[in-house]
Amino acid sequence: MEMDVMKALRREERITLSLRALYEQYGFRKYRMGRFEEYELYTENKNFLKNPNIITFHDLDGTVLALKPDVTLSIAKNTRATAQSSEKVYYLENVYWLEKQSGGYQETTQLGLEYLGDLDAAAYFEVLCLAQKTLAAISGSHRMQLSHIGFWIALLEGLGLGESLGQEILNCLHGKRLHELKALLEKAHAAPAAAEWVLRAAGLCGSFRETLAEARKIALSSGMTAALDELETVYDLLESAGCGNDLILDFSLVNDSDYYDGLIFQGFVEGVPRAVLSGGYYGKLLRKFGRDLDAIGFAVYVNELDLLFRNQHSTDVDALILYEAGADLNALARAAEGLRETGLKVRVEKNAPEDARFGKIYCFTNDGLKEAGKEC
Amino acid sequence: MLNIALPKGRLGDQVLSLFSKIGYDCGGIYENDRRLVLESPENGVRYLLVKPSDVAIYVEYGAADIGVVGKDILLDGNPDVYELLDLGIGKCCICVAGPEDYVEDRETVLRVATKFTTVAKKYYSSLNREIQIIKLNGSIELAPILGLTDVIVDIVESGRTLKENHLKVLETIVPISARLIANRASYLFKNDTIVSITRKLQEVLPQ
Repeated sequence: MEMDVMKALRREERITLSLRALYEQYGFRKYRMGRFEEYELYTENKNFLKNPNIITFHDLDGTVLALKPDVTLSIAKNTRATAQSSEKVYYLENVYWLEKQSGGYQETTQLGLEYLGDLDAAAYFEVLCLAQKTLAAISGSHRMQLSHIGFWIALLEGLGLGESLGQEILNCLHGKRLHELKALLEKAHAAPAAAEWVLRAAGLCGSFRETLAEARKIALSSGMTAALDELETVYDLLESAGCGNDLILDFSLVNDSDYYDGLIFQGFVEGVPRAVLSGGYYGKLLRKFGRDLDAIGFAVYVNELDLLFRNQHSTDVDALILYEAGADLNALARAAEGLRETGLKVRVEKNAPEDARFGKIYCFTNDGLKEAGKEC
Repeated sequence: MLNIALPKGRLGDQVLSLFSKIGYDCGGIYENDRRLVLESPENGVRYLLVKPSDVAIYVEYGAADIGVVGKDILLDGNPDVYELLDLGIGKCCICVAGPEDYVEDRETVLRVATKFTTVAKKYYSSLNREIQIIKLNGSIELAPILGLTDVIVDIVESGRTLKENHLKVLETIVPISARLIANRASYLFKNDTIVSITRKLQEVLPQ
């Protein structure tokens, strides 16, 4: 009898496995890392993390170690990629961070991939295409937001709005707080023309081609145009590969500009209230590590998928066989095995357990199995 | 069906009448109504009337697609939601208040009673002032009267409660008003409806 191994897995586990197979198809190799990382890595790159709270402890030699809150930093720090030889890795790792609502640490699983080296649009297209395929594997109803942080970096530099105001502007964008953005620019005495420009850019959100055309109208500098060109090149490739559907160009999507300086994206599936996938280009981070390389990647928050499939496991066991004391145990075992051989999950009990849902309930008598209602 | 979380109470009533002005009437009397869910299937909306401080949680966790909530709650809880519009209603301020004859002693750690702990911490840390926070959930005005704390950080609307308790505003930290917020995923999957509601609300708001 051949067992269907996949049947033992929960839906999110099956998806994780099929995604691993997908990434392997594109030449990404599994990367396994140590459970701990030196704490210093995170103190030096605090803003890269969404959440600054980290679990730390002392190693025997006094080094402060941390339970990883993030995987990308470790990969970026340790990459063997060079301009001549790129590195393509994917990972499935547990990370630890503070859950705001419960106020305690949480272990969550991240599945992600990173592509590092001397990259161009072909690589960015491949990663975005895989992000789209990842979302499609999770749910038929999905959306991806795409943006380019280089567009904002160039716009804010061009208008000479200064670093701290720039950061506040990005904060407003993250929450789509355009009313506050307007007030902020007034308070900072930004030139009316500059304020107008920022507000127009902040409101750019919608289907790719139309939004890109609007963005082109306010592309003041070569930096902004270069960012839009890159978006368009990658989108053209995605569209021809059939991966451009459900993609939204949204310039309110921003990420820390100290680390990210290119394409950024976030994926959502219907039924999960938060992003399930997030990624982008982080060449700037690698330059901080003294490596003049490109890098792009994304992570899938596997735990979030639990929300999606929570109520979809309608039964736990396919068949329950109930028997009474004095039954022929040999015949009972044969009957149960017979059902298992047809591929069913079977449980044999004297009383119906209350902690599981069963597809069918059978009563075992010495004449054989008889399908029953809730009880015999 | 679009789920809209609203704060129970006066602000919720104001917002419901605002929504009915733009064509999302919930078709009934809502004042003094004890129901927690008001449905209007013909308009495709369902209003959830929840505790004001919970509105942002309903929206952040996707139980509601959009909601209306005071900026005070957003500042204190910092939920990861879109804040689409300042509705300009429910206006008030988060202020520092103390006894009418209060003079600050800069040599001691300032004791502050508040329910807005994040806002208070952030404000005093921007002033580089060391404080001790005592978190209270109501009748905050009592704290300085009883000597529990030196000052309070609280919402001030008309200032009448302060006056009745012989307190005065010492500093205004931040002005507050009601905001329209949206869940990040809902904003993508129900974009047309949410964008249209935002536009229509903008049109009926006092400039």
